[in-house]
Amino acid sequence: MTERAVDRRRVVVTAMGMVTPLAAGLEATWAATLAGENGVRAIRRFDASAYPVRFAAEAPLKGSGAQLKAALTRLALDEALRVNPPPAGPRLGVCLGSEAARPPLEWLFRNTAPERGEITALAPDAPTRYVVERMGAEGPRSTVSTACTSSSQAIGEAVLRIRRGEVDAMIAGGVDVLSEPLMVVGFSKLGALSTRNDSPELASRPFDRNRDGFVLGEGAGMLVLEELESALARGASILAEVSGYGCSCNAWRITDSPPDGRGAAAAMLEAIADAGLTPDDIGYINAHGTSTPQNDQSESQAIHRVFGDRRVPVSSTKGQMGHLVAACGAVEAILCVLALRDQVLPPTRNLVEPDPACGDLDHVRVARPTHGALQHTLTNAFGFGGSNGSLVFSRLA
Amino acid sequence: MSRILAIGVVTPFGDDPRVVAERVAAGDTALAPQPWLAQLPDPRAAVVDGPDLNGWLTRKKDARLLARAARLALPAAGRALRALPSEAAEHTAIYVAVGREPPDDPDAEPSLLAMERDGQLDLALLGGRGRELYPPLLPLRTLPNMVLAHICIQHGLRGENGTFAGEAAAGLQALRAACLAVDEGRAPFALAGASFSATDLASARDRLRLVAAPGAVLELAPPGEAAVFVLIGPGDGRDERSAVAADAWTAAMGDCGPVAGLWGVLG
Repeated sequence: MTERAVDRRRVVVTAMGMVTPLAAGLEATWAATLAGENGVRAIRRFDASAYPVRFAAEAPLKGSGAQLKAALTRLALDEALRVNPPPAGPRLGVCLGSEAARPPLEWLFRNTAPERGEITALAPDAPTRYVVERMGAEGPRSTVSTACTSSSQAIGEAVLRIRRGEVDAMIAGGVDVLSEPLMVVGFSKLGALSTRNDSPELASRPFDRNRDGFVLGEGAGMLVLEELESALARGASILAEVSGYGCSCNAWRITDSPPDGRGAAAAMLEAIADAGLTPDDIGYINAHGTSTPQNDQSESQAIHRVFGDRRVPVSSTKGQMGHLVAACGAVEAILCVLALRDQVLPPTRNLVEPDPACGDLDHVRVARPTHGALQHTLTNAFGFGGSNGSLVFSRLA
Repeated sequence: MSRILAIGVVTPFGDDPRVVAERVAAGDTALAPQPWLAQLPDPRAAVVDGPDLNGWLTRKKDARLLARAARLALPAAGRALRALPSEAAEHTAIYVAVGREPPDDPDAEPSLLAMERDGQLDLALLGGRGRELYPPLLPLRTLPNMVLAHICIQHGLRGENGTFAGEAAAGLQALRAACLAVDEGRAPFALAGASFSATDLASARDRLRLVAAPGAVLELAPPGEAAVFVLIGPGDGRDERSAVAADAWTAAMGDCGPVAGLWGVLG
């Protein structure tokens, strides 16, 4: 371990909860992820028959918009708090990744004004406010809205606050709801979505030669992060250490990322260095892997820049559950913790023919046991506009 | 200890921070009736004249990617960044605050109106005719992190970054994050700021809905718009400035979301 990572407060994960298109619940989602199951189906929330894209990875809950976002937040938090939650008070803070919910389209044709709470529920900080009130968290709170990087940065922000000693515990995570008419219209008009309407289950195929875009997903992931000594003192279970966080910006273009992957590489290198590690220490990469032609190629180049000739196992779980955007960083962070816990790497669904343009990566195509050898995992989240976030999780030494 | 090296503003009172501070402190107001808001019960808003993007946008065709908040932010950030050594851009951090309103854009209105059939919502129409009318780049305008993204692209900022949203204190959170990035040695310089605009008809109408809601407890000032950015760098922390309260800003400029809190600190 380098000098940088010693002599500072260590941050650990003590509890987690998530709701994804695969399942409502952490263990069920994990089992389905390992089995390579499919969370992408025809849109059920509204009649999409006239839309150019008619499928999505919808969360297994009823409702829509802000109401669904609140339900996802509540369920994921419930699960994270099931056993021995951290104490309320000024030493507990909250930082979530979230974006504003769109007003229901029905409002455009409604003569009555929205009721109290209907509009404030749309605000990006609505999930944060809920968690703060529910937890009695009197410490710092914030909401990060950096597109697909939101919850990765929220976890990073939470880690920094605990390291500084501002708090002993943070609830960090993210939530997003994307299977909505305007989202489908907007992102399909942008040409970013897969259009495999005849076979939605094959649509999200990160790193595959025949990928054609991402799949709108939705869900929530919540992590309880605590300072190590404080967590041990109160008898909390230690699931993993959040050992490194890195963040960068491409400063390239709004619509795509640099083909050489330099911005993404900078975030990965920063996270690895922050953990006091070298690239040789990383045993698994949960890639951002959106299934768009451009992202997967750029991210592959970034991985090659960081790891050189070393073939680190890589997978993108977006093959199973689509792109959860503001929630993806949190959900994929949880999957990395579970990989460390169970010593097994989750696969990329639908990766049939690896794209040669992505170079020679060690793709995990079926769940792969690591037999106790997995010590450190890396997860990436890269956003529209060029913000990159990487996190390193480690088994507690 | 970090310190503020430069300030850039774009406001209805102009782009000279000293003049803006003096006019806010003097109790001047920029709120005035706006013709495009005439159909609303309160047609007042505090509006920036312009801004002129000449010199702040490398590729003029990128202007179509800019929402109003980003248009305000580019000159404000650019002025603050004049104090940044060019060789430092690569590692300079940036933290931005944006407002709590749902992203909206007047250009989406034709697409949304195409959903109407006999006064009722018809989602099938949105998927067909509505989609044809939907501006293809609109999703990239309305994402909350686009202000940050455009500044980074224009100035080559590649350091740590983030967009805080929703909280009234988001501007202060951005400022704090930027200071800590410098203080803790993760970045040699950091840009912090906030940008906000709710002066178009669609946004103003949404805000009135909020105030008019049965049982509403919120009281909102008329809408405003502004951008304030500061460049943070290493220093001794001694920087005597007079404080101008955020509520004085709001009285002068209308509701500018996270900009007011940031201004309250800068004075």
